[in-house]
Amino acid sequence: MNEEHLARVIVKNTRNAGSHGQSAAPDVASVLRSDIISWPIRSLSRARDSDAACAVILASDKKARTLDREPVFVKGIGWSSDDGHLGRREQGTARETVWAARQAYEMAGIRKPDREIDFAEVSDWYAHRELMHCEALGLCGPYDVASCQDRGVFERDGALPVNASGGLLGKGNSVCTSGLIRVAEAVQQVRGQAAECQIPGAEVGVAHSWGGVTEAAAGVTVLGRW
Amino acid sequence: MAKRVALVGVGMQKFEFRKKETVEEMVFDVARNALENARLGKEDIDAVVFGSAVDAFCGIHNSDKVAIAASGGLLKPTMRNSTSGSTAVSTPILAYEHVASGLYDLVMVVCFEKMSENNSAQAVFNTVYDEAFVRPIGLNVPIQCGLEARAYLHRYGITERQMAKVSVKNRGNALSNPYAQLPMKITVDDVMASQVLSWPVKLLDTSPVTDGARAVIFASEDAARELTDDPVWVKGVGRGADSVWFMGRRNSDLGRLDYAYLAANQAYEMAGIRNPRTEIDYAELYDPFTYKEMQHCEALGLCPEGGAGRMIDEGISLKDGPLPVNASGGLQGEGNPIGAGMSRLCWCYLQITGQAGACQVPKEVNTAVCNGWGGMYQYNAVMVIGRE
Repeated sequence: MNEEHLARVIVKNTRNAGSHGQSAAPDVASVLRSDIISWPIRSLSRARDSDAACAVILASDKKARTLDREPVFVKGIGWSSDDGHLGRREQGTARETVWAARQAYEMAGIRKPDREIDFAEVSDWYAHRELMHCEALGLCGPYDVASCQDRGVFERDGALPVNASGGLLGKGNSVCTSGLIRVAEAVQQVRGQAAECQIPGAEVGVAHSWGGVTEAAAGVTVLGRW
Repeated sequence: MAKRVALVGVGMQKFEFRKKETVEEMVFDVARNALENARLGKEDIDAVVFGSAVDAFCGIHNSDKVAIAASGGLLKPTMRNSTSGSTAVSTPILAYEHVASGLYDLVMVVCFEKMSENNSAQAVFNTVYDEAFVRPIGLNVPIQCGLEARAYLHRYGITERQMAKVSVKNRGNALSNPYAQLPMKITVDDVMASQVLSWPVKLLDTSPVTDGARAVIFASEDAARELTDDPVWVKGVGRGADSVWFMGRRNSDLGRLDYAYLAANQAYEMAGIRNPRTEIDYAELYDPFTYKEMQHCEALGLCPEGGAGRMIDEGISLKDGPLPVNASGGLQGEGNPIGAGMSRLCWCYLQITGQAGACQVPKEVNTAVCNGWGGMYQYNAVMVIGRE
């Protein structure tokens, strides 16, 4: 893979953010011209810091069915952490996300995530992380992420839209709030309330968060209609 | 519906100031001790929960990250909880919920704090207060406790000498505790003559600055029955929080801990306990200051409201009394590594299972209660554990 694959993630997510975004969507060429922070990370390939808060209300099955709003169910959850020492970790993989997804999919009864999941909101703190997470979440086959991107699979009108909301690259990164915002965006998609970000037929979505400074920790939630 | 949850092991280590071990080594030590105590291997544990109050104490941000591999939590679900001092009991409550939800069978909780890594614990505490109104006046824990203790003594007519008796009791109890940092044989007069920090709180009314860790393993009913014929169950949990603004409290009188009564009521209701004074056999209460043990005795219903002075006068809470409190020495005698104050829960377990050694109280202990207190003096967490 090359830097252009990373640039395309930025172009997609800032465009998806649309009027909610922090800046006008750049094109691939302008991403590749932006300052290098630590190659291949450029100033535009890192989500910008932002302040945000988000709240979500959880209810039991019984309680949810008495409320007016159509409930969105938590079908599976999983979380996991990799080692706190950089030297003991394998760079270029997202083991923590693989393990978290395995738990969440098992609980949700999902065997083929690339076919059973309609959309995903994943952590794109850095552009390359979105691609790593798509692979780790099984949204494409191993080593297939570049060809899926080439075919536009992850675009908003693609077969498995990723970060149709704009993600962190499009809307900003409020660190620990970002994961909950992914959950909230997924809930809105399933409810059909995502306005101009809406993906037609979105029924089962996955929300993912990633973080940790030296360790890597990930959380995965599968949300959908029952 | 919540599933039944049992405690199946605890991991202890000596509390001391300036431990030679790193945070990671401290965590490894208690995790291994807990696994040995429960006769389990690290591969048996499904998930790990960490508790540590304030990162600035040990100087490592996200300090739970070094605990992941050390606790055997690598590539398992792990999370960290922090509610200041009450982390000590809110963290095991979170671990309990991991099992009660039915998601996991065996969950380890590790609480740790290495307070000797900072130059001034009180300077760190000052940063916990809001930055606009309270922090600039230099408020810290002893000063605020002075205000609170004054309100408490005034409201209920409790005396400084009664406070001092708690210090004598707890530091004396710690003489039997091999993990204790500050066992002392002292008299009420010694406490009264110690330096006044913020009247009526004196040096010997407080707890020391401590490095330490504790671990506890929780099990589902099926897993517990494989390990023991006589499980110790979590019977009730409760949490209560009030406003962080002194003037925004439900009860503007600092002397009454409404939030602690609330937490205790939840836990007792869940445990089906109506009269804690007769149904609780043993208590380990959060006692960073002498009067806090007294307030917590009242809030947890171990004596009538305002009756904690008489309780200590009559020797009810002594080690050989009818309702012993902090036979381990509590935070004052054993040491106060904020989050690792989970030691209160560990000692309840050790007393019930008869593993408390020289700290064992001379009575049968079937049901015990512990609590944690902290935040902006406005958060309390309570756990009741016991046999069938």
